[in-house]
Amino acid sequence: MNAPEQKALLRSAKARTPHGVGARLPFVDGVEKVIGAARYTADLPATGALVAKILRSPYAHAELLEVDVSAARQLPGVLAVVTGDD
Amino acid sequence: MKTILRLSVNGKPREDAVADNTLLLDYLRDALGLTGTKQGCDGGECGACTVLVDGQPRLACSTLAHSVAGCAVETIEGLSHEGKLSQLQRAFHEHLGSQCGFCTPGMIMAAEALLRNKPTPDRGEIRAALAGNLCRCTGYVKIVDSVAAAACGEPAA
Repeated sequence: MNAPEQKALLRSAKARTPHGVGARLPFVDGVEKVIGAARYTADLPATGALVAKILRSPYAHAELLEVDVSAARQLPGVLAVVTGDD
Repeated sequence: MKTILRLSVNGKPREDAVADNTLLLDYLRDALGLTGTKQGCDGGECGACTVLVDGQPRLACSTLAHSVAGCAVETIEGLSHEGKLSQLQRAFHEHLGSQCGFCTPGMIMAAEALLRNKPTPDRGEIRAALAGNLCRCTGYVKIVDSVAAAACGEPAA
């Protein structure tokens, strides 16, 4: 469904809406929901989204002295390496 | 491996290179951008991904895209025409058959299949046809009301 068609649907729904206390009011986003146009999180495009990876210490309860991220920074496609120092 | 998949989606013929292991749900949502078909449980339990294949309700999450080659697939996006809601869509809207709305496309497609096969079902038949569709808002009474209203051809309010 294209945008003008969607707008026409919304307009026709509004035109039928009665006013006053006790009136049956349709949901403001009811039309989107019944035509499948309502956008939920999983429906948003993920194009261009970056992927993050977490590196955890292999030692439990150890003191973190230093993290050498130089090799990670040099990997092709890596945009950022974020550590506690940031 | 990708092979050519020929089918019709919402009345339009399509020809796409699709991996053999692609699910119909992912083909519709990711390749065609038809995100009205929802991924709920992704295991065939909730019915949110219900589409029509040659008029029959099918769970797109549990159907390989290539298994419906040559078939006519219909999704929620195919029900409204030229800016007009279908009778069933209007009934769901006006009888508050959707709350959060996530189960609504699947509910409407399952109900659409029912009404095509049996235009005037009783409430028991409506409930049976929607038995595979879960609503986590638990708005079942209004969902059955909506289908019943559409079935009796109730004019617009």
